Amino acid sequence: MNGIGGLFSAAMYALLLQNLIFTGGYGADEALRMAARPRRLLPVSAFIAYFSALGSLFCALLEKIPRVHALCALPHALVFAGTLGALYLATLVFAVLVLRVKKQTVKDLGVSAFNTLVLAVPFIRYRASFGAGAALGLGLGSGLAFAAAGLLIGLGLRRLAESEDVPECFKGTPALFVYVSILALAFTGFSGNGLNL
Amino acid sequence: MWTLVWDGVLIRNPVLFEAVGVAPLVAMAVSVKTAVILSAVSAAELLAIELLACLLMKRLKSGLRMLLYAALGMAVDLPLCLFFMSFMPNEAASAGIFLPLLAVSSLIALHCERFAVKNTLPDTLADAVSASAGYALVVLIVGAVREILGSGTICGFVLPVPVRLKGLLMPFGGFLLLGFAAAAFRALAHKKSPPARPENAFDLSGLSEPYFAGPKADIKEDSASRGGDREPSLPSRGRRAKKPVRERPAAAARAEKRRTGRLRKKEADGPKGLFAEDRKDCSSEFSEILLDLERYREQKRSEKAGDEKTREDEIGNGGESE
Repeated sequence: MNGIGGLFSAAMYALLLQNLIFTGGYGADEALRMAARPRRLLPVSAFIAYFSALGSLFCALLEKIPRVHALCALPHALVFAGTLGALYLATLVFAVLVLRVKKQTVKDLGVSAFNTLVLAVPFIRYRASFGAGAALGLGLGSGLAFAAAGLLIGLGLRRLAESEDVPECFKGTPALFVYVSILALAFTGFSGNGLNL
Repeated sequence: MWTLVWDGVLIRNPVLFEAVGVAPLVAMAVSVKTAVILSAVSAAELLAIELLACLLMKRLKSGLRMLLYAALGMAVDLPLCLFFMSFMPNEAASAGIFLPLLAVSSLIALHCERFAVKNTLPDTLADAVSASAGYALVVLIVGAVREILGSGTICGFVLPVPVRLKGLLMPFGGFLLLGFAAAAFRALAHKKSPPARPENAFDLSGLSEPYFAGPKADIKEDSASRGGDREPSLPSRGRRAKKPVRERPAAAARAEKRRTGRLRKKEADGPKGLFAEDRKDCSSEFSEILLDLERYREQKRSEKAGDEKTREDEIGNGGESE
């Protein structure tokens, strides 16, 4: 029960309380790009959930080894990146040789495995000393957070593209950044910390 | 060379017009010193990995290249992390986990995939220099403004700033400043070279696509795997784009003739086996329809050719009379 409770609370933490994309800025580049390509948003979100959940879980299991646990911050980064690399390679081999996926899906796998969001999840888990269940929840929550961010940004992007009220020099990425900043402000409010603007 | 660099800094700035490298910027660039760390690490990674990608990775599959970008990113990033941790410990500590995360920054993967593996070494070098300079410029501007307005200091020196906007030090403040910086750069770029349309760099062509394409959309199919919603590649600098291939009329006519001949032969042979009579009726009817269609197409084509000829004659006559 503790493990399941930890899983759900960590997922909610990553999705709402501390939405990793808006309040942390992790994976913001990919969220912006996928928001402009709706057909790829859901597969990439699913891959991100997969890589961050399994990567975080394997890193949590590796932490049980005393030698790994005793390492300082930078070697930990190497361990996390190595784990993610091995997971990506195994997934790539399975996807290409067994599932025979499209070229675009292979590209999406690469984009999903190596980004600041997926690599940040094991770091956050390590700093918060989460167990295996919470690590899995954090990974799944980050995938959901990515999907939510992509959907919200995509909705705004459509409205901005249709609107004729946007000034000429704000059309395109400037308006998009301002819109994302408003969303980020809203999600920062969810975190419950005083803003001290 | 300088034009290319200038073009990359102002007109195709990686962060403002392509929206890459945004994540480290909004989270990390909260002062001039952290901005210097971010620009130095990004520039070193971009130069080293783009050049290596151009020299060694052109023949590798894209899936493997992504893995190598991350591995090389770690190889370049970790020694730089150690260097900054020993020489600028406070700033490196304030950067938090973003310093090792720079190894997987999208700035590197995207520039390598879209440019380095498709172009020559001098072009790749120019792209790496221009992207690094453009990124550093924006990072330093955003870092300086956030430090002045958010902390009331610049490079650690206290300034007499009447109001401190601490919200600017948070990621949403970074996004807001980026928006205004992008608008300012766009206005400047528009003034310097009006024909360039930098907003096209952030590709919005797929915005009207549906969100769900079905569970089988990712599995390879012959017709679907060839075409594609590929990543848009950056325009090749200093080279002309390939012209679309026009089908020659003689070749098209030959192909048409072959198709009609095959249809006539099929009609003459007729179907074989069970229910041959019924199938023969249906197939002959269908072949007649197809032949009618072919005849109609040929007629339309000849009409069109006639029209074009008369128009050309008219233009020729007009030119002569002028």
